[in-house]
Amino acid sequence: MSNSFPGFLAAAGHGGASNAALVSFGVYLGLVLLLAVFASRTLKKRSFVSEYFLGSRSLGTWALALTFAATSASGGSFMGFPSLIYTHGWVLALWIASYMVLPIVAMGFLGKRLNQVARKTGAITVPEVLRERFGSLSVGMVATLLIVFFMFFYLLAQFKAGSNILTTLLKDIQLYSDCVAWVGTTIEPIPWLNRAEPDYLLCLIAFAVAVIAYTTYGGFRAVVWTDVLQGFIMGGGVLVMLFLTLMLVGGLGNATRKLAEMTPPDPGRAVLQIAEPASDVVSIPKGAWIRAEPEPNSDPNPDPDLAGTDRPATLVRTAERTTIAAGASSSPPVSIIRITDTVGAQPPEDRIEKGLTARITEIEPYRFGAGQAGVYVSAPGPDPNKDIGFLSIGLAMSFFVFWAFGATGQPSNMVRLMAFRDTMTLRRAIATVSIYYSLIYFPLVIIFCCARLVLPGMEVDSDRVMPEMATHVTAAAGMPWLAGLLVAAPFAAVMSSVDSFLLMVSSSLVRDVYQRNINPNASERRLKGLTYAVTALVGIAAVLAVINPPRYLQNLIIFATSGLAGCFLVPMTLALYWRRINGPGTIAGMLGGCGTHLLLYIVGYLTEGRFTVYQFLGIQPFIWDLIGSAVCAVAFTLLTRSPAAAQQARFFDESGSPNRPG
Amino acid sequence: MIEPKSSVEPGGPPDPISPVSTDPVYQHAKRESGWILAIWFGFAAWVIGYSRMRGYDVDPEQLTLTLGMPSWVFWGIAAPWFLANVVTILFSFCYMTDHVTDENDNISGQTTDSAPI
Repeated sequence: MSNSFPGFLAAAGHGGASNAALVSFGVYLGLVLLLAVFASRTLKKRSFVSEYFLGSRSLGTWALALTFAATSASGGSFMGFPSLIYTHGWVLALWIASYMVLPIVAMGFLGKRLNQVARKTGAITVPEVLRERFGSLSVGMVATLLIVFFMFFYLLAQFKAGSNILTTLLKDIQLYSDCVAWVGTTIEPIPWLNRAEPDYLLCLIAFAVAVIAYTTYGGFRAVVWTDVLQGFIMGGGVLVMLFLTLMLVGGLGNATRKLAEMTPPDPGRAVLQIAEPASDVVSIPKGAWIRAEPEPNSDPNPDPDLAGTDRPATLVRTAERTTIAAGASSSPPVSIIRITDTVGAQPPEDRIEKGLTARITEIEPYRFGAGQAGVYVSAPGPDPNKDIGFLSIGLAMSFFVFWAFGATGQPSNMVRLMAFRDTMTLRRAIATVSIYYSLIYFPLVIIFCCARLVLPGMEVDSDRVMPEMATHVTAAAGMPWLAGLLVAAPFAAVMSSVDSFLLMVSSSLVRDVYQRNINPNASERRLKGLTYAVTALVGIAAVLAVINPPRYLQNLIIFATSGLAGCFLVPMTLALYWRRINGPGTIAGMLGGCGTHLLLYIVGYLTEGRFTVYQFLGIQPFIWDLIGSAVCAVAFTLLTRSPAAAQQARFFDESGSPNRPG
Repeated sequence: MIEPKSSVEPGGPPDPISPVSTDPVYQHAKRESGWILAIWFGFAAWVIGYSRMRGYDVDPEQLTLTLGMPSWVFWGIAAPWFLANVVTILFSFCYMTDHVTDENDNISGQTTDSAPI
């Protein structure tokens, strides 16, 4: 390794590339922490609570635009979404298409009116807006509890995503491997902790320390400023990856034509065998490439020239770790995928396990698209679990509703709409976010459709396709140091969401629970100390909850985001635009949305035996959440007393000076 | 805009009708929201309708490309996405009303000279 810094960065070879990537990544992380320090200095000059939770309502165009965009783009956008694109193909462009109108809907539909009402009431949190709008502590408390509940699940998924990204980035670094080994040894005797993967645990702690530190220290302004930085990183990272990917695959047309020839892999199970009994335990990692034994030719219309011969050997990739015990020559059956075409890149010979063969015992072909060419370039897209394919037309329509209106109903987005400086800022930000999303989401579809040609068999761990692709394209372009910045893009997305949600939960607890209900006369010093403590504790609690992580990252994200939108979109919309709605109606609307949401997940669990939502009539559950929320809100409003005339006048009629609470 | 204000106190004597001005910010926001819903609906119809007609179960032998991507993706998603950006920018800058922030840090009903009525 060269002693000079540029030489260090340009070092070739696997370990050198990873070190260079780590340096780039470290630079990015350093910038984030520096911004938090500057933000904290601003904090000292202003009213703590207003500045810490809402940046003193002074966000300008770029800050509003990028904090909005970065908060919306989470680990799901840069880990889960690429994973889906890789697995199902071009149909994901249809799945995400609603993002073309998301900015104008999510920011324009409620933004101006929400900002006005928040200023009029002096509210700095979403529950506070609702509480002040109706003069009801109960409304505020219900809103707070729902936010804390769903946000916590969202935090769990994001912490897991952040750890996964770091794991991929660091895996080839010797120092990291040594630290992982040390962690593994240390936690081995500790119950519960010893169930965690040591590499995942180490990265989880590193990620959590960084995010919790700058969020706790800098508050809302740190979150916003780092969102701006992360927004630039995400946008720049995607565009660079797009360019490098298209160069690697020989152009988009070439890639699409090859994709049209590809067929989905076959999931199944196999027994892994060695020629002689093992003298010691043989460990076979997840993702290992192994040649399958030639299978008997069972084609019902056999080629006469192949009569009596076996089907040529194919490659399989393990979907889980396994071992061959000492003295044995085969493993227990292990999950695998069988590669069914040779159109895309094949793994290099040196990555195929020597001395090991796979005897396939069971194949469960995709329920839609198995053995069919063209499924990756058309709808509904291949799917291992659903007969109707990945995206039926009904589901496509549902997602067009969900993305745009789901974002509108997110409390984390609502808070940002309460923080902009003036309406000109809002208008400019809407236009900015619109262009920004165009530069991120559609290019991601292109990049990860092309990824199928470059990285075969990633179905075994598709959540890692983003960092793997970033590493691959930069290495192929002779710029391994760039991988650190490209991997920083999904990492930035995760951080920008975690910091926002962490702050939302802490603001709900401190402002809406403690200050409003327990100690309204709390001093600013006490609030400050409590805020720091709660922010840190919530982060730590989330980390503890994902030490043994849930399996379905994307499912957790969808549960939380659709749950929040289902609870808040209708009540907030009615609160801002309907005179007649009252406190009981708002509470009913929030609980109606929540109840519908939980019911669909319970039914999903009972029918499928796993954490998933039941799609009643094939429609995205968010639609049902909205219907449940709207029915409850309107019914309870009409069945209960009208709000007082003075209250209606305050928010709907032109009045003189504002009437803010003390 | 003048709206009559009626009694909302159940069980009490009806108040005399007196004209009250509706908050202009509320009025403009409500009107803009209506148009935003219409824009959303228009693009939903284009994207879903076109994709349904041309994107499902495409025969790979019949696949056509436009700018390197499947044609149904280009005309059903990429092209409307571009147009959505244009519409969003025009709507934001040419239609949405701009309101000043008054000395009490509230968004007032007063509009700026540059804002469309």
